[in-house]
Amino acid sequence: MCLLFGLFAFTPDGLADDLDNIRTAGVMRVGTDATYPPFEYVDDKTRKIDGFYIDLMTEICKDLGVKVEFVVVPFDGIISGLNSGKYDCLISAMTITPERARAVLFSEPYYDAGQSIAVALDNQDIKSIDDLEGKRIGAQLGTTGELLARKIKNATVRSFDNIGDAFRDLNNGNLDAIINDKPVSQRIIMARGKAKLVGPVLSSEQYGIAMRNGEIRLKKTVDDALEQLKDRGVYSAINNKWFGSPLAQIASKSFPATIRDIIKFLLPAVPMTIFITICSFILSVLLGIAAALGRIARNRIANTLSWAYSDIVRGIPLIVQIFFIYFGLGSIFHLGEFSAGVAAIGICYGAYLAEIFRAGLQAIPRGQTEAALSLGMSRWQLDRHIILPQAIRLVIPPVANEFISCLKDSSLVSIIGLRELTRAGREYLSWSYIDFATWLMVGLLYLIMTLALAKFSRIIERRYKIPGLGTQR
Amino acid sequence: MTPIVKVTNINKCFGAVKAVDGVSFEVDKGEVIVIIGPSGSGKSTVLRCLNGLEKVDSGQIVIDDEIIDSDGKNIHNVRLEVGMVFQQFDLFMHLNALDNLTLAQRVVRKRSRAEAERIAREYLAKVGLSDKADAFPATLSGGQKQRAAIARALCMNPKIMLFDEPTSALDPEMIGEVLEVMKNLARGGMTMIVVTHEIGFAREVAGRVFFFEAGKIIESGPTHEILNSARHPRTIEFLSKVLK
Repeated sequence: MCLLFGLFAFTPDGLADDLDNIRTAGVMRVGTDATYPPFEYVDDKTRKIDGFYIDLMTEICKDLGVKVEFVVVPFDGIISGLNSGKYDCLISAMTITPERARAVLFSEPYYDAGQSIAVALDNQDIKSIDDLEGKRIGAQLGTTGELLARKIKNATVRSFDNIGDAFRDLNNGNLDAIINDKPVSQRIIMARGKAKLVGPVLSSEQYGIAMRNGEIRLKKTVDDALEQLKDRGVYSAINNKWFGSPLAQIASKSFPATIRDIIKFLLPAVPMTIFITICSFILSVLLGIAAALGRIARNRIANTLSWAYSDIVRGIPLIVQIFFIYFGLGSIFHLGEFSAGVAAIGICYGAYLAEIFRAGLQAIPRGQTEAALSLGMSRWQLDRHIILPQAIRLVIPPVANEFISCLKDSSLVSIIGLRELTRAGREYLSWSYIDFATWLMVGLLYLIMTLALAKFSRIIERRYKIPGLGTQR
Repeated sequence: MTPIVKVTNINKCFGAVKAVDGVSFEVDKGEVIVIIGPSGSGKSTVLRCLNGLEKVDSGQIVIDDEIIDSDGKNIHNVRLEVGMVFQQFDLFMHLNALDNLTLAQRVVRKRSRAEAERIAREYLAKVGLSDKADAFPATLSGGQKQRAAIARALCMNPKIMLFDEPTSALDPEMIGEVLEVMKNLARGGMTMIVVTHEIGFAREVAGRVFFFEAGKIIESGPTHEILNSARHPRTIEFLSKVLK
């Protein structure tokens, strides 16, 4: 078979071309990458290939009067697969470029995937890119959309890690427009509503169905079928199926059911938040004790080191330290996101705890030391029986406070991709677009944990309170 | 009889200030010495040198035949013989009265808990605090705290007791109960060196009185002699103010 196809491929004007062979076989074989939902993907549950292009291609084949058979291939080998005869054509979000057009024969474009402009539903001023001058524009960090936005005169451009956040800001009135990949924007708008696309696509990135070079009859047949489908409204029905209803349904689900879904999604991330907090706090207590002892030591070097540690670390925002350790040091020492996150939080909190421990140790009156020494106690016995028991009691409330802060700050490691509670919230939002309820639930889960900790710390505090000292509750 | 305390020409500076300037004296076993003098005259510093809370710059201190090393190596042994009572009582804030009395007995004297408690209760009874064994320092009055502090020192069976202005931080009505405990101790034969302004106490139990000024003993002698017929004009001036 392969040999035959190869032979026919070099004889386009010969006895039989691809179209003839397809009609004879009664089946068209279509190559696709199947990793780009909702265009082309493998369904989690049915394990079947599905999506916008798949429906489109099925309809085209119906028009041709043949069956369709999909062949899944990685995108980088998809053209050579076509030319070596493994399938008759391919459909896989492939942008038509001059380079590719030399290797394969493209159908007419079936999808405009350029940059689009999105504005709020009630916006009547912005109709095309010309109206964007001096406006506030959102885009995704590092994309073509951001480059385009930056070229617009007097515009204020804000770039987001996650384009979903830009749409949130558009609805909150902080942006006038968003420039972004049309398919992605379209999908978000279909799911959320509250925005619309205006004007023509800005850059030409059109997707085409690829066939082997020279198969002009097949191309003509496919183009005709495509036009037919557009004329009969089948194309827009498929478009609606994939960009309209399914995600829109998620967004419009009733509130109580959604809350349950959200919590179900968030809960598995809670143990990670707790684990990060505990690990980094253990590290910070150890560092804090070492630094506090260094601070009050008579040794000059220990002294200087402790001072430097406390002052430097407390003077830099935690988020910068996380970036520095993960991306900076991480590139040298190969730190995973967990070790980097724990190290960053632990080091940061150690510096604050050092101050608390030092203050606790120094708050013990000198008379306690002298009384103990005059009774014949050694330095070690003094520390063990007099200083530490009193200092530890003194620092329980501030240390518990730091622990609660540490739990909350563990959310910062979400930016390096560690999948804890905050990250889970962002992930849920990236496809559900239920902002209010999701952040409410994330906040509530944190609140439950911090309230429990506060309660626990009050119990400890009361349990180890020195009778008659301090304020009685 | 060899003196139990022998101080020879000790000097102590704090920075540029000469706190103790060539002080020498001896104390016999069972003697009660009262040290008086204006504040800043070096009385407390001398007392603190006697149990090593301050190191002398020069001179020699011998306690019960043991010379206090200049490097403080044997200070531990010396402190076992010398009890000290402070102006601010300095009871351990996190321990109740009984534990205040037993802690050092157990960790320093290595007594069992039961023995330490027996001894502690005995001394609490002697200072009239039997009912306060479980009380924490913050709930005791100043006079009760100081009596507990005296009992705490006595539990270690010291041969000498040092008192550093033991009644200065007390309300007037509580001074009496503390002095009463100290008088009983003196009558029982304890060797005591007391820095105080309580002239009445000195008159009643002190054998000798030292008058300190500017880091020196400028007059010393039997109590009645110093209190009734001091010769040095500064002593006379000081006493006239204190006795007024």
